[in-house]
Amino acid sequence: MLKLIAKRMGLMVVMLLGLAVITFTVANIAPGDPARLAAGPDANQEMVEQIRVERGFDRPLPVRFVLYIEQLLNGDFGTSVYTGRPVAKDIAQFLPATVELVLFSISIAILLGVPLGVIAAVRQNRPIDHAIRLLSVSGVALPMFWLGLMLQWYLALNLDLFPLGGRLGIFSDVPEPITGMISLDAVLRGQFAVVGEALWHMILPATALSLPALAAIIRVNRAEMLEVLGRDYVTNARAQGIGPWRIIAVYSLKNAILPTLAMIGLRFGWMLGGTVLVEGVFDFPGLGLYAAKAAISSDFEPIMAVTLTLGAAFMLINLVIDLLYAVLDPRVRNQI
Amino acid sequence: MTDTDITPGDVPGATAPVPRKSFREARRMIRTYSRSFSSMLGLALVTLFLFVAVFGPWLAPFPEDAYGAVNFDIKLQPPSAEHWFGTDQVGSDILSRVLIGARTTLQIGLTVTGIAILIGVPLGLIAGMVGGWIAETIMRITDIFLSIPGLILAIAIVGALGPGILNAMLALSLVWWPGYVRLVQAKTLSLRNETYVDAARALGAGPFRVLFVHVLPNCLSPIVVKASMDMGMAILGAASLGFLGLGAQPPYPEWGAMISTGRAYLPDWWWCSFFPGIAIYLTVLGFNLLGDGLRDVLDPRQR
Amino acid sequence: MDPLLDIQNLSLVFDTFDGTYHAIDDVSLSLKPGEALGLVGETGCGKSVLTRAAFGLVPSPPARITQGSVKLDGMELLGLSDRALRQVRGRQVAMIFQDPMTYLNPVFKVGTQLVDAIRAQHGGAIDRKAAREIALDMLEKVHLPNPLRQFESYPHELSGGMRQRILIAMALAARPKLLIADEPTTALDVTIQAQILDLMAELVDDMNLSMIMISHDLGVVAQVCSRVAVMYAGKIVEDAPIRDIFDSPLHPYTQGLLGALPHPFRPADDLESIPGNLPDLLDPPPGCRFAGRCTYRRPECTVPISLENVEPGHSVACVLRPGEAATTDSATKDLNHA
Repeated sequence: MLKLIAKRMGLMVVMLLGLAVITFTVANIAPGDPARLAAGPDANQEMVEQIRVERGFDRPLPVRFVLYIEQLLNGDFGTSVYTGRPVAKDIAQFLPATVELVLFSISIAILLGVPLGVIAAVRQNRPIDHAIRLLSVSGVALPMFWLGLMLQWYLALNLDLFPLGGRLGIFSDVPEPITGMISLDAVLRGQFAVVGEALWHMILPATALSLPALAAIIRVNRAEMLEVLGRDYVTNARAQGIGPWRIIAVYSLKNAILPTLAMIGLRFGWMLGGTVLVEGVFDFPGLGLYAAKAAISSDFEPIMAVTLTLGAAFMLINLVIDLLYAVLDPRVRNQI
Repeated sequence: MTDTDITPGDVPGATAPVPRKSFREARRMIRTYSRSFSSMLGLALVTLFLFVAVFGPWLAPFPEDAYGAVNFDIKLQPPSAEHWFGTDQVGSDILSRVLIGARTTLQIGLTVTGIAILIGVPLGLIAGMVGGWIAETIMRITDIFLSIPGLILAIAIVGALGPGILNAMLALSLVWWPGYVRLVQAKTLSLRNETYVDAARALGAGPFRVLFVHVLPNCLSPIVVKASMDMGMAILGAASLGFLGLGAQPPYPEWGAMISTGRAYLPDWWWCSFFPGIAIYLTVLGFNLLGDGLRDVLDPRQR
Repeated sequence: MDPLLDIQNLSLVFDTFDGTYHAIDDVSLSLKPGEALGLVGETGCGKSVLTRAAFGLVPSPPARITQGSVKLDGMELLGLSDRALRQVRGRQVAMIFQDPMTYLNPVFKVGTQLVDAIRAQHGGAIDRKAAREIALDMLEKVHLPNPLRQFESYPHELSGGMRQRILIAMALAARPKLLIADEPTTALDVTIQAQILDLMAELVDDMNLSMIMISHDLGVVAQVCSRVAVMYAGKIVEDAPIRDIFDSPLHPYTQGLLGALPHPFRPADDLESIPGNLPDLLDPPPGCRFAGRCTYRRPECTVPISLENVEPGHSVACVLRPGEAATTDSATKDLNHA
């Protein structure tokens, strides 16, 4: 197990380096002057020249790449023109909100998606299966930003059931940050009313964000369950007289969950990207909103930094999924 | 086993000409496809979408509204007999803009999927056929691309190139190809180890013959299925960029950008963003269902 | 003596997209306590479906039982609730299957699966510890080396023979009256195959079991069974003591099966194959289903035919009668040159 973790960590370092190559390339395919891009649209010539020397834009490409890596290793992601602060500081401020939202959303997707997939498989071609399929087919096709807007319009504005956006009401006590995730901090600080309020604020954005993942998880889990339920070891378990509930929820699901796990990992990553769309709709102050604002104001360095951060987060998720695979599947465990 | 020991020569009809067989195969596929309600729904939606994309300017009641015509005296009118989807903040007919926007959407979908296939399929074939460090390099680069959430990378690329519909399409194409490399490489590898490909090689078939006669035709089905799905996903991606203000710029009739503009008028003038969203949903749904149906027919083992 | 298992006129169809597939057609079969019966036929003849359908193991839909009755110890099984059937399956009837790899769940330890199965067999009336005792005891009975260690293993860590022993232990832990062995040795090496067959013969004797062994190989069946029923295309065509099947097979299909058997005094290239394929069971011929492949085909073969007793304990579904057909040797020769 430790060997596996070490191996995957090593691979991740290589992948991170590759990621840096991509962001570096993207930054340098930009038509025009990278120094001007970094300085922002309102900078004068003097400021541009100052940045050019400061950030090494006057050096040859390979040297600049080495410089870039060096800066990254020092935690220097440049400066945001829009906020006027170091990008690293901005990220540290906005990342926890996004992590909180994405964790909440993926939990919804898993907790609903896995059972619904099982039910659909067990009741194959019955009305409930068709209803679940309608949900899963729609979930992938609905634009999440539009779904978010519609939920906000109808449930928050028209019916006033949910808050419009943000992380907490204006008059609430924000718990002293520990992790930066408000609901978790509130639990740790014992402010339980705030926990509910924070979750309440996340319901609509999380619904919009989780629907595509929910749909995908249902789909995969249904297909896998159908396959597993037809396997010989299930026939054998039935022949031994083991009850249907145990066969479905334990014997079959533990096999079907393995491919589903891969889909969960993939969708987890896509959700990180989806925050750019959904956080804007609900004015949720996370990394996605930060990136969206940076992108429309051509604030270059924050975008690259967010790309790197989310890419690294995605890799971390994949690492966790790989380890979970090894925990759940003895065949994988033994190969290592 | 006691049965099955029959050589084709024993059974009359077993040597029937091949075209007849493939004709029967095609008929079976069409029958399987048309039996599924959701597949037929997908086909219908895609057909409708293509029809609107081609004839949109003639179908639209107020075609000039799609290109920036302004009628402030009828702005923000609710859906009515004259304006089925209502009018927007400058008095343009939303139905007309949605209908004409279909063509843009189709262009985006075709371009993104097309470029992705043109980049991804050859790389996948090379990686699968050649092996060695070349394959290793291609696959590692593919893995790295796949390890970044696609939308974020596209935003980064548009951020570098500047907002606009062409740049958005380019950015989406550049993040879309790795999926095809994975698909084709895996398929090529598995085909390379098939007995009949081995046999062909043993009989002296060169790499190009193996490639074009044995490998490429067998990769076609999964590529078609993925391409159908990707049309929907690329349309969704382009609409997302449009919504963020990084793709098509208003008043260009692009669905994502229309939703973005309509957002400012939301509580009271909901139709501005409602109908373009429905259009996106039905189109993407159509391509997904079509892809699903094609997979059931062309590639039944893959799920 | 009353039969332990009594299947009467059982018919089963599968509803498919292409039509109704007549998998089992009007089959009757009975088994006395302590008897070991071989059910023989080629792949797809319905022998596995028959035994699974009798105990409610064929998913419905698509399967549908259209007529017949299945009695175990005088109790009708068809129409029993799922719950009641589960009790029958666990306690009175045990099954082991062809491929020991695919019949053990890959993500659970062997011990866990054994304990679960044994607890289910007892209707949950015993705790895990007691079940574990029974499991270890059974593993010893099937001569599995080092049972304590195998208990903690996952299926993929064990060999095919070991896995089959575990499946046998699992099946027999409840001390069932009837064991259904569905091609139990097909997936194993020849030497392991012999060991497993020995073990089964030993257990049948020791535990006073009745057994139905399903196989496509008459040679395997001959090592364990005293009686053989030959199935073809969803019907039983011949049912006789094992001696009679080898010495005086009546049905041309049985003769064909014997011709396909390797024999120590015959070179391998002299083995027979029966030309042709199974009839289309979506639209089966009304008469004898083997007629299309039979060298002795006559006009009356298109008339429906049922099993008839020709000698004590020997029935056959064929218009040919003893003495009418040529002997096995010439029959196979004819088939050979057909």
